[in-house]
Order: sequence, then structure tokens, then C-alpha cells
Amino acid sequence: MLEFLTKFEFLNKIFKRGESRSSAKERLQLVLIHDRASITPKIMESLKEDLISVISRYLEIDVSELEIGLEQKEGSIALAANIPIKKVRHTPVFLDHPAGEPGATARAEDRIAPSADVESAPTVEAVIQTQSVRITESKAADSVTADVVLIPRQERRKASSRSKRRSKMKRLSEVKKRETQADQEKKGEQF
Amino acid sequence: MGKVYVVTSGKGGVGKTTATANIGAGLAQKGKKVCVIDADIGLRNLDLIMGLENRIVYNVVDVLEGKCRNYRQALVKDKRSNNLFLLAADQTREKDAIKPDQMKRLCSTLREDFDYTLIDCPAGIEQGFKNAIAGCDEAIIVTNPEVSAIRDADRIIGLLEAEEKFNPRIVLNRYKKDMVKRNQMLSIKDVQDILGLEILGIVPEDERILKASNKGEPAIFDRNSRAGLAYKRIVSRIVDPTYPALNISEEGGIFRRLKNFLSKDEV
Repeated sequence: MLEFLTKFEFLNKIFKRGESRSSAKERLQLVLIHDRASITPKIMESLKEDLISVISRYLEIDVSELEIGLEQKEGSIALAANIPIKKVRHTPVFLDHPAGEPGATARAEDRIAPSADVESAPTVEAVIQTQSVRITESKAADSVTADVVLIPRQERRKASSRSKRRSKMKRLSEVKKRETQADQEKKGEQF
Repeated sequence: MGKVYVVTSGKGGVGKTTATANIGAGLAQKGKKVCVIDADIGLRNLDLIMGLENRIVYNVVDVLEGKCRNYRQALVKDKRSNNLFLLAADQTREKDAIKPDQMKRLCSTLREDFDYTLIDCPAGIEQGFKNAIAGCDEAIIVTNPEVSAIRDADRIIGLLEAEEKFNPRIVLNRYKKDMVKRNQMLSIKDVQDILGLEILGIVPEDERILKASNKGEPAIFDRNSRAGLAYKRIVSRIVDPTYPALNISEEGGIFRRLKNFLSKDEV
């Protein structure tokens, strides 16, 4: 799923065939991603651990299958994470927080509302774009996905209040209501 | 009002000095008034490549330190052209001998007096590089289809953007079409994909470049040099940006390939 991991497989094929051009290109693209983003492996490890602990508060995830890496998306660099969910927790569990209680360290925009039961085991495909986290929830037809979007610091300051986010979610759900109503009306017209 | 270009690369040995000498000579051939500056203080080579090493009296450091009345005293007129002038580097000093502000002021003077000013930037990203880019309007990044060169060029692009020198263009030097065909060398498209910049031109690997530097006569004067032809095309493109970068495109149908096979390829 992640481009850079599949690139490793592709790389092996290239080395076997003895063509050096593709391996030059692949290696360059990878090395430039790291040069441009300047994230050292050490920092990447701590980032991964932090990510796991935060997400584990709300979702029980399969840590062994977790994939995190940098990839290029349309000229900018994104941190892409593929996080298989085992179960969605009905109430957030703060194992990493000493008091075991929510609120103290959780930032308003990090929290997601508890979701309904999930029928199948979905995958969370998160595209994280820079340094701070805003987690929004979207419901697709047959699965629940959590879109984890890391937004730049300037944007964070703007969207800092929970009430702003709530009103935005309200607006979104109202839009959806209107859309479904419109659909129903259209269906009515057909008959 | 003229324009000031810096010819930079990051990596050393990719062809900056050769490019500066040839592009400068080519622009002068087109009747433009051109000044080329060697900003590689301590390791000057532009004079050697142009064959003017015996004619240098004053250099750019002398100008900036006020040792000569006027910068014109330090200019060396080219052997072959009446409108091409060299401002040489100081071979005895180091990169910290001049500061970016001094270069900025020098460039604004030269902008008034010349149609084109080309600054041959030293390799690296330190003081020499900073001095060279300080006064420029546009940047030309010379690179090779080779991993280290591309990596360094990418770093340079980042540094140029930080200094608000936007939209640099690339000269892809030492290109070997047959190696690209055998998938042993990065192609033009690969370089474009990786660096994401406009290609100013492609210069093929050419033994005649060595011959040219041996003699001190830039390859653009050599009718049999494919590299020289490529530089001519680059010069045309600098003067007229709508001029095509390549004689032939890399991709094409069967008829184009046949045409390429039969015609004399530049690249």
C-alpha cells in the first residue's frame, strides 16, 4: 500500500535484472525525500512510538502490521501511515497517561467521538502532512475510517477550539442531511 | 537593463566553468554585451578555460577592495570577441575575501553596463556559493545524470529557494544517449521528475570539451563539437525562451524514431 515499501520490492527486481537506471532513480527519490524532510531514523522511531501510543488510546491497533514512512505526494512530502485496526474502543483508554484520565494531555483536536460498532476490521489509511494532528472521522458506505491529517502549525492555531470543530462537524452533517434529502426528493420525482 | 545569471551546481566538476565560458561566448556571438565573472576565489579556472590566463592584471577582489579605480580596469577582453569580458577571480585569496553585499553592488553596476552577466559559482554551499548567488536575477543549475550530482543539485535548489531566487533552470551536462537507451543512465525525464525544474538544455558527453580546454578555446567555436552545438542551442534559448530545448524528443512513434536515426542528432 505504501509507495515506498513497494518500491523496495521493485528495487529488488531491478537489481536482479542488472539495469542500474531504475535503481538510481529509486534510490535518489528515497534519499531526496529524507534529505528534504531531514527526519533521522532515530526521530522516526520516537515519532512511531508516540503515534502508536496516541492512536492506541482510541483504537486497538495491530502494532506488528503498522507501517509508517515518508512518501512524495504531488511535490510535497507526506508522512504516510497504514494502521490496521483490531477494534474501536468505546471509551478512550489512556494507558500512557499516569492518572489514566482523559483531558489533561489530550488536545481538543486530537480527540475523536466514539464510533459505532464496526462490522469488519477496517484499515486506517492515514496521510499525515506535517507536524500537528487533527483527527476527523468519516463514514464510508461499509466501513469506518479515521482520517489522520497532520496540519502545519499555522493552521493549528486557527482551528484550536473544540467548539469550532464541533460546529464544523455539525455543518458537515447538515450538508449530508440536505444531500440525502435532495436524493430522496429526486427518487420521488422519478416515480 | 541587463540580466545577471549565476551558474551553479553544488557538486564540483559537473561543468559549471565550461558552461559559463561557452554560454558567455555564445551570447557574445549573438551580438550581446557579456561579462563573465569567476567567483571561485582561490581556485580560479574560468580564465584558463577561456584561454585568457596570461592577460589578467586585476581581479574581482581588487575591484571590491578598491585597488583599482574602476571595475573596467580589471576586465579582460576575450580574444575572439569584442563584446565579451572576463572578470577573473583572485588566485591568492580565499572565499571569505568578499561578502554577499559587495557582490550585490557589483552586480547592480554590471546590470547597467552589460546585456548579460554570468557568474561562475564555486562548488559547495558555503561562503563562495552565498557570494555568487547574492546579486543574481536567475540561476542556471548545471548537473550530470548521476546520483551525487542530482542530490547536490537538489540541495542547491532548496538553498536558492530560501534566498528567493525562484525558478532556476537546469543544464544537464555529460549526457549519453546510448547509455540512457540501455537503461544505464538517468534520462532527461528522470531528472525532470526528480528535480521538478525546467530544463534549459542538454549537453552531450563530448571528447572535444577536453580538447577545447586544452587549447583554451571554448567548444562553441568548434563546428564538430556536439557539446558546442548544444551550448549554441542553450544560448538561443536564453535569448528566446520559446526556442525548443532539444532537437528531438525522447519519446515518439516509429516515424519519429526513424527520422532520429537518419538525421544528425545533437544529443
